[in-house]
Amino acid sequence: MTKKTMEKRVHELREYVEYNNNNGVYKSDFFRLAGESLRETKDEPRQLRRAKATAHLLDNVDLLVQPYEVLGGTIAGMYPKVAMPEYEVRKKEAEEVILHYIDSRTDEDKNKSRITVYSRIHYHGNIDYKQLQQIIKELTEEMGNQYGVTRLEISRELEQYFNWDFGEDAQLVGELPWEVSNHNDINPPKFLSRGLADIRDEIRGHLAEKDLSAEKKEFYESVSIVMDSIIGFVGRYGKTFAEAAEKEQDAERKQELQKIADTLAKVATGKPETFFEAIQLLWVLYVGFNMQACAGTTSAFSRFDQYMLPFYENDIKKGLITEDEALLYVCNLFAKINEPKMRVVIAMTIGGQKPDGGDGANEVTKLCLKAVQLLRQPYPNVGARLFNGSAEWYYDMIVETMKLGAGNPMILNDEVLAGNLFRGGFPLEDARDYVNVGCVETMIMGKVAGWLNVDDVDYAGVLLKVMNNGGDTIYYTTESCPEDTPIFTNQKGFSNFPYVMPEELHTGKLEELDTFHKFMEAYKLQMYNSLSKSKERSDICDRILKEYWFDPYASIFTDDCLEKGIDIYGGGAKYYGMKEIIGTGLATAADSIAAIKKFVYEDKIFTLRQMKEMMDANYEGYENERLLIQNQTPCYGNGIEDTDRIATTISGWYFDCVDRLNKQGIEGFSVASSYSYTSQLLIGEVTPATPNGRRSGDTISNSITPSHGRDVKGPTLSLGSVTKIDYKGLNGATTVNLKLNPTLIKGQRGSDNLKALIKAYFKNMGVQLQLNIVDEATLRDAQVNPDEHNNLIVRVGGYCEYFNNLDKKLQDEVIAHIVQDL
Amino acid sequence: MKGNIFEIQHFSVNDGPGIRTTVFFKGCQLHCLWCHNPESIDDKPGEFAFVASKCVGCGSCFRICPEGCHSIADGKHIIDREKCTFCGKCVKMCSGSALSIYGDKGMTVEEVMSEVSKDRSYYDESGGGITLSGGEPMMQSGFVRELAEAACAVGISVAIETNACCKYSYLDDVKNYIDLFLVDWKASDPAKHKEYTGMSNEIIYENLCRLNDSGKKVLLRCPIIPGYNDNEDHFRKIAEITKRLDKSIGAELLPYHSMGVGKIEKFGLEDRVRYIVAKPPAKETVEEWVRKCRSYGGRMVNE
Repeated sequence: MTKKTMEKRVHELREYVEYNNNNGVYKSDFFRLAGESLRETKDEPRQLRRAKATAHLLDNVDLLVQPYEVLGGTIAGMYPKVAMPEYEVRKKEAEEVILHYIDSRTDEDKNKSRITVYSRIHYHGNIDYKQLQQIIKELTEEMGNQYGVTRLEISRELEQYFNWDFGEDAQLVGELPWEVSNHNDINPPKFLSRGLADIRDEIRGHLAEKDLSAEKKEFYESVSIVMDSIIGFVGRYGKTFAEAAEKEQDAERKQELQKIADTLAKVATGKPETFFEAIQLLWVLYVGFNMQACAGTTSAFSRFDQYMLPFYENDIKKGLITEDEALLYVCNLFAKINEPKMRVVIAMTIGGQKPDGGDGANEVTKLCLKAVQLLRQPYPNVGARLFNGSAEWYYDMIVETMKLGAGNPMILNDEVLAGNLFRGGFPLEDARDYVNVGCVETMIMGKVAGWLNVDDVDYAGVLLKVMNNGGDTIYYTTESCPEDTPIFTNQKGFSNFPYVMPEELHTGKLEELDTFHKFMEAYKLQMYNSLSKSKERSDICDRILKEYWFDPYASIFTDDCLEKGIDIYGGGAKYYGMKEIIGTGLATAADSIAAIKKFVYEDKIFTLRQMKEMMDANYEGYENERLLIQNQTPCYGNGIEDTDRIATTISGWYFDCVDRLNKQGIEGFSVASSYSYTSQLLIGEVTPATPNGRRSGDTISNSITPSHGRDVKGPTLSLGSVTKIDYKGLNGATTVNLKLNPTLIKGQRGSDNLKALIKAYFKNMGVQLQLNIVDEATLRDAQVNPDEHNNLIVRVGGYCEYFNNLDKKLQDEVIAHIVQDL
Repeated sequence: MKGNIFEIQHFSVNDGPGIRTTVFFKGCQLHCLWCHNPESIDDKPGEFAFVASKCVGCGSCFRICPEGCHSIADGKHIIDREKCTFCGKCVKMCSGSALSIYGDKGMTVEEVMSEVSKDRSYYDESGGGITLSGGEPMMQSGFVRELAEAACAVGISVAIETNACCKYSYLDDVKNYIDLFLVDWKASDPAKHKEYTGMSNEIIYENLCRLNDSGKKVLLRCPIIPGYNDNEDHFRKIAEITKRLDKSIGAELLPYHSMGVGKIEKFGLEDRVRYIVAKPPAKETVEEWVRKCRSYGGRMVNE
């Protein structure tokens, strides 16, 4: 195959995938199938019900063959396309929803959070994404002034309304509850090195063991049922392709389909031997894994370049494959990850240190970066690991790929991330096998139960507590519900937790906080108080995991589950799980405290009480004061020692709380995570005005990145502030967004400078970096003429997305972040 | 000793190799018509800047200024810069951050070093360092020497952007601490040079040769201003100089840009500085210029 043919094939597939993303509404078959099984198993144990329903899904899901693919398999069979009414009909429907809402709403309703933001990837609605955005836009214009209803309210109500109702099936699934190992891989090195039959035989061996306890017997029965169905699923997919090959007229295509069919027939039980067999098995097992989740799961491909290398080297040595053929398969994998409903935040990790300490960047790493360059799609979310021993060619390729402006790859610093896991007690070789999962969540390939959120702290919310003497403020926290609420998984795959809330703590009236020192002491107390229930929450989490959550699919593959005879969630995995405590909005809080320090305690321009009055009024009637505060505060992100110290101090308290949780003897490993995904927007929408001049409802700052437009002295000083944060404390997931004006990094010289910027930043123990290399004018134009910018990708929280797929408010945020160029 | 420094700019990528921080000196003996830092020509410490588009009309400056510098005439914010004592009260209370003061206090070597050292690791990785620019740094050659020596002592590479329009002994005095000289060649005809910049270019040529012959690395930088020096003779001379300066990196043509014009208003320089407004050349025109210089045998660094 010539390079040109290969590129043409890649292009055709990519266009096909994107067409399907941009056209059509899909309805999940998951609930119907799961419901069928769950109805029949009502009296059986939870674990078995989960296994049988999973098997039923895999046995009965429609299997499709797609055009252009040379790698077989798609999730599309689980999500058939359905015809929907015309735009005008849907708009009328939407109008009625909003009118009804206006009639019944209370004051409290007005500022309620959206819970999740509708960007298309996470959208399980029954309306075309673009249509919905258009309706929101039109209704905001038409009804906004007339009824005093905001864009937030309209979008929130419509986002809630336009969803499929799966009725009793969804109820059955929710009650089980149906949890899927989320933010995890399925340990590809295990099934690629052994083949499925070998794993099945191991399970059968365990089942035949004498004196099995009832618990273990139930576990082995569960995984055995699912294992048989996985093998059946791969085999059935092979037959599907054989039938397609039979019918195919075009001789060349027929051959391709037959190759897929033969390969699937072989790897349904046998051990993969070639690069193609390995990648084919890999892909269908991930398709199956994501099919058994209510709404997809952010599964990760982890260290693809490591586990695929032996196959690639062997094939090349034997002359079984050319580089371009291998690239075609890798591009197929990448493009297909972007298929509708498969495209949750699926991550892949490349390069970095191997468990033995050597450099992992290899020929397959090159293929991955070439695939990113050819496809320029948002997924997989590629994390390029770097360490002090990374090869120059690898840096060069990363820089060239980043410069294409498609947001990928982001880069990860081994020295910090592997180092933190090692310091946290993980063996060195496992720490060196860390991967980014979802956005930047740090896990260890094939060995961890999952990524669990146990608590969170909103730095700005803590500040508002201080300003209100601990009193009743709108304060964002993980959705909580009474302790006796039944455990339930909703249609979007989210499970509720009966979380306990901290009690109110009074840290003093504003007049009592008459020195900056006292103010900071109050902040510290509120911070510790807001995280005072982490242990209780962690314990509740454990109880739910052990009693209610099962994932036999993941348990089959994750290290140690089969040996121990325990589900991944019940303690079967080699490592129990990462328990994150999220810290959000650091820069908003640091800037706010810097403003208070300057205007209240140093320059004495306002009293603390006056600051509070302005905030309570949302700065209405105080615009000059607001601008003064916003423009004259020495902000985080400019290398200003005083403000940076505020950021390191308050983040240090938070890290201490996380560390304390680890010392309290919890199961798993507690990690501090400062990444935002889209929460900077969600939290921002419900956070009242803050002392840095930020108005109520505006976004708060993103992870540990400086506030939008407030780091005005260039990337080196911006990163300089960021690297002052204690990297040892930041032991979970972190994102740092950096915008770069394309003119600053043009040409070879620009590449050299970008490479140097990355190297120096990592030497200074920066954790992670993701770039947005695009100018403001392009983004503004994309808002007006979206159709001309269908391929424009931007970095958001820790992931990439097409600019057109973002909610208008997220678009505005991305632009705000970019306009600050010098 | 204090240097008359008016700005320090991080992440400069156009004034020497790698990632750099540029230290801008105030005061220049030339006054090039197209100067892109016109606020740096006058050597009086301190320039008061006002960006009208940022003004939100809060009126704080009127109320707070003890000297009565701010007034309104015909709906326009007028600033009497003569009266300004750089007390900074209005700047501190400016809601739109439309007002600012540059370089009123002067900086010690330690202060400059403390600021530029923040990016130390970025210089090391990129082969960058600091660039002394201006204005004309050699007008403060004593400070240049001290600063460059201090930077050298901690291993930070120093480049200097100079018009080299001074006695060679001054250059000789600092050259050991400087890795790269970025020297402008503004016009080839001495009379024209005098007309455009106020001084003749003979001494510059002589200094260029002497720096080169002493083994110093030089990059010739040639601002090309349409209608002023975009002529064959000039291009030919540039090419010749690159041949004469056999140890130099070569020459770089810098096409005119109009950023300096905006600063005339921002710093209220209308009556203090001679300036022209020209049209920035098209990309193709610039490429043609570079091609011409190359055709005469010039060693050009432009891409």
